[in-house]
Amino acid sequence: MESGHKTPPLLQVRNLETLFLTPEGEGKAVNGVSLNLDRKETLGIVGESGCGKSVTALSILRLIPEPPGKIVSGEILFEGRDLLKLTEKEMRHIRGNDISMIFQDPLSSLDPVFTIGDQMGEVFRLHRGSSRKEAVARTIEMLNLVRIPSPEKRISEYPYQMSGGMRQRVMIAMALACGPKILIADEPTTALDMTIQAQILDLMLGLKEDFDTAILLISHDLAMISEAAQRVIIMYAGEVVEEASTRQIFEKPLHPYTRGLLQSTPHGAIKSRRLQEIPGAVPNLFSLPQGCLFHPRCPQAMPVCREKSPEWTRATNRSSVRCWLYAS
Amino acid sequence: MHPNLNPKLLEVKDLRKHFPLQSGPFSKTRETVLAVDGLSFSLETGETLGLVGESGCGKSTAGRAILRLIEPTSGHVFLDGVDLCSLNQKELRESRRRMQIIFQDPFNSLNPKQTIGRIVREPLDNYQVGKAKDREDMVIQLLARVGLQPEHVSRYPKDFSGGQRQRIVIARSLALRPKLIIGDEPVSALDVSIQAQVLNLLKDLQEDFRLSYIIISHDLGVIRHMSDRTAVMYLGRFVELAPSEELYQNPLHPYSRALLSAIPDPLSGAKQTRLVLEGDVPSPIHPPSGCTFHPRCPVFQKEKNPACIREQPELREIGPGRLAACHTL
Repeated sequence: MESGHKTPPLLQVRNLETLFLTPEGEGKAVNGVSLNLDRKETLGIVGESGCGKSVTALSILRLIPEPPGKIVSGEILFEGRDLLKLTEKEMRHIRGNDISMIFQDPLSSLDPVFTIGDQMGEVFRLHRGSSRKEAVARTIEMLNLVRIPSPEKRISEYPYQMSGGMRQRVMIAMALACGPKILIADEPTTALDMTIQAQILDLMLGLKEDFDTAILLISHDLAMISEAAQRVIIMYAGEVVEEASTRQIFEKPLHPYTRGLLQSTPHGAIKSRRLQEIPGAVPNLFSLPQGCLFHPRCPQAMPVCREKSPEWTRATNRSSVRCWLYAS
Repeated sequence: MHPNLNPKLLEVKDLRKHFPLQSGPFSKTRETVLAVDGLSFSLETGETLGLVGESGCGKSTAGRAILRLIEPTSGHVFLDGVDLCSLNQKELRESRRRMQIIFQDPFNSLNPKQTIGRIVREPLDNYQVGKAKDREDMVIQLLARVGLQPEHVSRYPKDFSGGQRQRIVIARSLALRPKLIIGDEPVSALDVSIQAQVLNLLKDLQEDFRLSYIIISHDLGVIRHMSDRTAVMYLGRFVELAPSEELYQNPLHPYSRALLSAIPDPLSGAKQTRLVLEGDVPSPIHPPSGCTFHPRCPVFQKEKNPACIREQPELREIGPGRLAACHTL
């Protein structure tokens, strides 16, 4: 997974493993995930529910509730420093200033009993040591940037008084308030209406340019990712199964799972009566299959797939895949 | 579209559903939400109509009002020529055999304390279909038809995945051999790889049983794949109704144009020119005057046609089979 650059990537995740201990047993939500994120890059992480994409994101920020969760091994190198070795206080500094995150549901991410101004002002007071007055001025400035009309009035409003799109704008403003180097966006537009989704995606991509922020964009929606990301990682059952440039993923998907995902999405350009199905369902994390995790659903499964887990293979110079079809 | 002339199965005329808002005891103003505000359309046997729109546009209310799961404020719904709105409860119950609804969330649609066998059998018992001893076999046949095994009969909903649960819901809705099934976001709660399975199943069943569907969804890809015709809703009204392919190739109404341009097309390669609408969907309590879309309409912002503020445009024929409600067309 080396990106071929001389300078080390901004964020480097190596063999991350995150477990959840539950009465049903030990579930490996993230199973040896490695990824690189370069400066100013947008990297998409795509997968279905339970594939570990959100847990990967939360692990990077060390926001996994412990117990039941636990990061058991791996390295998360941010500008060369391993985040897993930092103290909680150092980590809090990273979260405010260097890496921030927005979630799917802006309503549950905002505190209902504080005004927008209070919540946003807190960011500046805590992380930038601003005075109350400065914080108000900076808040208005940020709300202007995310194109919220008449921000002077809006800062005294409560989250319930705003629409979903407006709330997500506030979240983006808060996340970008301290000019982070990385923005992790976990399904940032999924809860929003289609026309609002387009607004928010445009806004995020525009601000990314202004702030020189790298984005880790997590979504189940391949089409949305295709508009925003330069590179894509496909996850399945806690593992990365394919990594490639966005173009490559759509034009020449390699892994049978990636191909299945693309073909099973109803798509205007390819009109046929039946959609290509991926048979079966995502495996239960507590009883994962032997060998390749995808083999029970794979149309091209071979005997070796049932026995041994495939190695990570570089397939072309712009894509890597975890599949026996491409093993040398 | 279907080549042979099919009889109209469903005819909806000027259907309205207004919800009065709770107001204070001394308040004089009575406000209402115009959730569905005058829908008219028809549906043929074996046809699928897609209803698409953003949240709050009234598409789900429309689905429920058609089946009289909520009482429409006014209007008529003819199913096989019988006006459902004129029926009393007993007659309505009899008509319900012929129409079913599938909801988004297969987790809440199934009673967790009942076995799958019991769940699928319930409509058969309720309507005394066949002899009691034959119903067991009917249930197994229904389950087989949606891709489930006979041994699933004695299991509980918790043992099934989301996709399988939606299959159970579909089996139950087929039990009374309905003619019309309304699917309210039938695959939205499912993962992408499972969505395709359920959509394919719905298409197969449509062919086998000559079902008519109304598919309600916010997902433009699903609607395009499933529907013969598509209606675009905005604030309780249809702004456009057209054969699906024509609508997707060449949307006429400015709202449809913006909505469809919001679909990213990963395979086209080229960066799309997205029409980004300003602002939010307005409140259906105080909808804007005239054409309710005018405050967000890019055409209005350019041309400032005064009719758009004054008069609500009617849904009228623009081309063969194509209806749209817009003053500027």
